Amino acid sequence: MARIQVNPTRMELLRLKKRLAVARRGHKLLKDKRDELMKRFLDLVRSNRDLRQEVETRLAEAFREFVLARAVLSREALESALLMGAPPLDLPVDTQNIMSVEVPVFELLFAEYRADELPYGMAGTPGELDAAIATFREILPAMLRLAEMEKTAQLLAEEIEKTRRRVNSLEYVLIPRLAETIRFITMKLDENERGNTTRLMKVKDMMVRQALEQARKFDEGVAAEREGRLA
Amino acid sequence: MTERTTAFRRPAPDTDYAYASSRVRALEARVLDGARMARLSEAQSVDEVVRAMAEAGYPSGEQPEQSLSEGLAAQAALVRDLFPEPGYDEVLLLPQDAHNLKVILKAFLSGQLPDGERFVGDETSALGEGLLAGSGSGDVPGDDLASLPRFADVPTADSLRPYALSPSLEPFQAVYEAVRDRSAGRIHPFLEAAAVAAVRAFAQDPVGSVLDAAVDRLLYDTLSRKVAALGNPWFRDFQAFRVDLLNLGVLLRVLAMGSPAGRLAQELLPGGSLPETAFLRLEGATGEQVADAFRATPLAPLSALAPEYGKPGVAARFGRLADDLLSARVRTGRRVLFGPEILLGYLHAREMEAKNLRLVLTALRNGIRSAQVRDLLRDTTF
Repeated sequence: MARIQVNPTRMELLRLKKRLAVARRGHKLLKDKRDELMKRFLDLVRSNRDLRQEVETRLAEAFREFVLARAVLSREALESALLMGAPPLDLPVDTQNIMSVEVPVFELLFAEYRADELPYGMAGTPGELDAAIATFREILPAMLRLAEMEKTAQLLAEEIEKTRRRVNSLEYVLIPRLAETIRFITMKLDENERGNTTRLMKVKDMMVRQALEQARKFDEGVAAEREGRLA
Repeated sequence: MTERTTAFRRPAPDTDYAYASSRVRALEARVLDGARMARLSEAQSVDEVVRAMAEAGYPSGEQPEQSLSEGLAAQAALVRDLFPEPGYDEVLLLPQDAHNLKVILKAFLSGQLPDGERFVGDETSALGEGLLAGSGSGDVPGDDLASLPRFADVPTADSLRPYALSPSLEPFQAVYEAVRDRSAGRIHPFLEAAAVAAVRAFAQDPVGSVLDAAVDRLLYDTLSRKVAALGNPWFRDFQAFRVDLLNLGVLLRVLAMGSPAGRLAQELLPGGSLPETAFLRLEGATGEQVADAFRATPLAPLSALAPEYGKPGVAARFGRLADDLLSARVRTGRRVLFGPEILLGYLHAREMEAKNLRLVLTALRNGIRSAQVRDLLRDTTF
């Protein structure tokens, strides 16, 4: 693992140790966030699967009826029948915060529908169209709920991916690099320490040797002087 | 104003009808009959259907739907020209004009309502004010287009033309301009009266179905009167039977939707052999009661579906059976050479053929099983 290019100083070591502590705390928090996001995501995906199945089944029914109606009507007749459309509806979009992810919340405000409120008359259209229109109308809130859930799932998935990358980056890149750099600086500082100790010991040794030499020379001088006096 | 009347019609000499019937008999051979349609329902590609359409006299083109519409219009135009008596073209084309009028009115009125506000009682709506000032009921004979308030922000005629049907008694542009400019006396009186009735009905209850129903009621009233004026009992009975079938369909649809009281009266069409009260008294009835009520009428085969109407696929079966009953009625006029029966029967057969071809094309594009298509194919045999 490549270490960070820094000066191996005690200051740097302290700074890096602080960074490592923050990184480890961040890593733990992000892991917790990822786990919680995953839990929410899996719950959401399960409900989403059920809702999607329901919507798809009902849409398939509606399309089957619609296709049959389409089959016996000319294009112009069908277009004209559906030209007026439905009464307006409001769709205020709010947001909700899930683990710091802003997800949309749709609230469907229908104008009051009557069951028989159709955009076309019955004389010029086949009965298959009624069932299709009724199903499309009934299914609209579920489709919006599905859109809301799928967008939430998409946003959560993006956030999980982002968090996972961050966790991995901390776990496999930043923390090991910091640890490696700290180890390197510690070793460097220890080495410096040992170098200093050795140097001091060497100096001390030299000084001792020098003192011994001086003492020996002094002793020799004293001895020679004593012999001269005796002679 | 293009006033069309049958008052001064001269009786057609028998030889004229003999000629027309003979020509149509020659054309009948090209209609795709039940056996050929059944084979076509097994088609694996749209090309096979296009080839069959070419054999049946439809123009070739890249869009089968377009060819179908053009071919049908051409056949109808050919047969209309063969009618030796005046008045038939009016009866045959009036529904096309009614369709075009609905397109124009829906486009004009769909932008009139402020969001969330009802049309009636809305004092800010000029259209609502103007209409309510001078209206009592939906259908006001004698009132002309000038009595309508001005429409705001209307779409262009070109943008609506793709939804229009052609040919029609009145050119689409003429109807569009007459309604837009509220010019009285420029279009067929039926269209003028229908526009006023539809806009008034819409002012009372701003729903598309109300607008369509107002036009349709006036259309079928006009048609029954014009058909009666043509003096052909077979055609009169045929038209009345068609209205009966439509009314039974309306009754079952209203019952299936659980519509509030009054909706049935709005949608029922005049001019049937059964009075409207025969249907109105069944408002709120069960399917079994409907089946019982029509057990002794020619609608019995259809009314038998009433108990299960509303279940998936029953409406489609109802539609096919209604068309087949009409086709059976058409066959009762097959032997009449000196009258319009053969010509009208041919037009009906071509309409059924077009429905069958649309069914096959739609099935091919949407992966519907051929067995299901065969169940829905209309009878085109003569």
